[in-house]
Amino acid sequence: MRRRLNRQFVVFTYAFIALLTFLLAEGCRKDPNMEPCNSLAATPYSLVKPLRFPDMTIPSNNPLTEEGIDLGHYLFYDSTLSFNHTISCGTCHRPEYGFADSGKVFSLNAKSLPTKRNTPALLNSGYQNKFFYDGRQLTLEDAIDDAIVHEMFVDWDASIKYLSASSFYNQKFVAAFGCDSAINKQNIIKSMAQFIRTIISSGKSDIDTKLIAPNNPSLLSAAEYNGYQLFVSARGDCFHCHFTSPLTSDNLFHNSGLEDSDTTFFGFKDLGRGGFTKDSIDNGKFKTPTLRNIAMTGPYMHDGSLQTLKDVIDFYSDSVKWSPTLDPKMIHAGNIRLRLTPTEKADMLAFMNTMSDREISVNPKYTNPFYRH
Amino acid sequence: MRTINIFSIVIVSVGLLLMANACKPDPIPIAKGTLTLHFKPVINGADLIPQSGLYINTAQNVRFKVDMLQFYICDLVVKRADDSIVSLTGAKHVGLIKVMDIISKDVSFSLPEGEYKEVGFTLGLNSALNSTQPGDYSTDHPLGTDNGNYWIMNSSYVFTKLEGVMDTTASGTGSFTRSFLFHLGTNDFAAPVNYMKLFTIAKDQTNTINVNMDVLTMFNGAFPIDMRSEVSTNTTDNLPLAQKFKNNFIQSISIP
Repeated sequence: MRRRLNRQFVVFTYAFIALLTFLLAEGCRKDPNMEPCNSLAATPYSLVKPLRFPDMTIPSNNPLTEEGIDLGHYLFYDSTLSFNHTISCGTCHRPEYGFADSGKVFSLNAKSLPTKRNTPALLNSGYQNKFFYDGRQLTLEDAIDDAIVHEMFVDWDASIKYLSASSFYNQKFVAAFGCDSAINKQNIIKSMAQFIRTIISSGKSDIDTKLIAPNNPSLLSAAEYNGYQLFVSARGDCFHCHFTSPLTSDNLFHNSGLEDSDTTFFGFKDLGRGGFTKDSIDNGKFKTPTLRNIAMTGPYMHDGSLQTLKDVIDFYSDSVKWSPTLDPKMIHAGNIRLRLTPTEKADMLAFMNTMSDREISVNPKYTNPFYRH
Repeated sequence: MRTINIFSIVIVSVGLLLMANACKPDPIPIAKGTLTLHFKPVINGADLIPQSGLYINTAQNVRFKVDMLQFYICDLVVKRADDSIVSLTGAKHVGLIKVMDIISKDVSFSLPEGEYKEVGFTLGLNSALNSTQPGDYSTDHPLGTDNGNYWIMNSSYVFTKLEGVMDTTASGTGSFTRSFLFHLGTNDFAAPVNYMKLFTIAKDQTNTINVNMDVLTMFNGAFPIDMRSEVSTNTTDNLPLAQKFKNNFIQSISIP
């Protein structure tokens, strides 16, 4: 009896082990339907950022990949996305002009009509949380969609059909998005956003190598140093908006006195932020632009009304206008004009030029890839 | 046969051990609730309306508007009824109060349930936090780049900002063509404050404590600031005014 029980136990134990093995094997077996597609096939990309730059917040549904960036790079320069195939994003955001337009007050949209505002520089856009001078878009993806629709007048169906007919693009979409490689609006925008997020400072401008990274202003030339001292003092008073981080923009909205709106909140030619928020206290306010590569991005201000950097310095020195929403930081002991001396102006200009990062204008990571074919 | 018996005993023992462990109770979690500090800036007893509210400092016969009031707090320290202390330090417990923005007037902290009798915090940032810089944080962190509260040239955060415009004409009928700007930063301008306050934190409940801020006291406190002549400090460029403002700012805050 005892021997029979032992035998039953042995049989039971071996059966139990066999069942476990079977279940484990089944659990590990791959679904054959999943084999051909691998959405994680693209190669993750790590941004290389200059010292003291923050980590960029990347949306979880659009991680950076080598292949996604590569696709976005081509689409950025592809005029297919304009309704009449005349302009691409790269037409108005040119690397040699700091990713702003080529000296134009207003760019021309796909219908050859002037844009409403001066084209902003795209450098370091991935660090922003509000886009356009009025901050009307909150994500880079939405900002791209906005520009493609309102400046390029995209016909999505036609553009997608055109791209779908291209084996070149078919391969690039598969490489970038794997399982989800459909050539559609979402993937087009996602890849372009990935590319634009890589357009960041190289860290090789003088302000990086002489001032921000080593924190040693004495490495600057005498004029640059004097300009820096003016920049960070209440006398020049640029630092409140432009030196709160190495990005050289506080990402906030200010009325810096470009327009006189008489005594009302509504006399501005362009309501700026207020035109979006519909709150009159925001009228005349515009997002602080980056000063990175500022020497390359003229003309200046949201309306492109100041042709040169010298004009900008002259404006802040001698021509700021009062209006009800003028930023209190623009008023200095009752004066809204700095009245800089000619030497101070020249020093300030020298310091502005330390922000230039020429490398991005020639780096093939950013320049038009079609020219290489 | 003996081998099989030993094998059986081992298998049964392992099984029993696993079952016993599976049934072992988890350590009792500490019950927690939420303390929310609601900062409530007032002028003459009424809520401050930033940017559009028009106010009169009758003591100085100056009409003014507040364009911006914002400040950091850190290092929450609360004392329980039994005199034990709970403190929350570090970057994840930093609050940035932006009075322009309704949703940013509150700072919340998770605390063990119980009875408390004091609440304290630091106005500004402690030296450890102030030795960091915006690049150390995600852009949307209170200490990150989105908030524009850092001075690269001073290697310091701007702890407190009060800005506005004013009409200093004797008749009080002029335009708001003058401004005031008080920006405090650097380590010496962090200010620990403490208030006696009985409050209870109940499990999974939020207890909101109002923290009143009397904006007029920021000008007319124990260290009066002449709104006609003492109009601007970025701390290092006007230390005496910064010190006056710091003292008045502390005085302006109370917990009823």
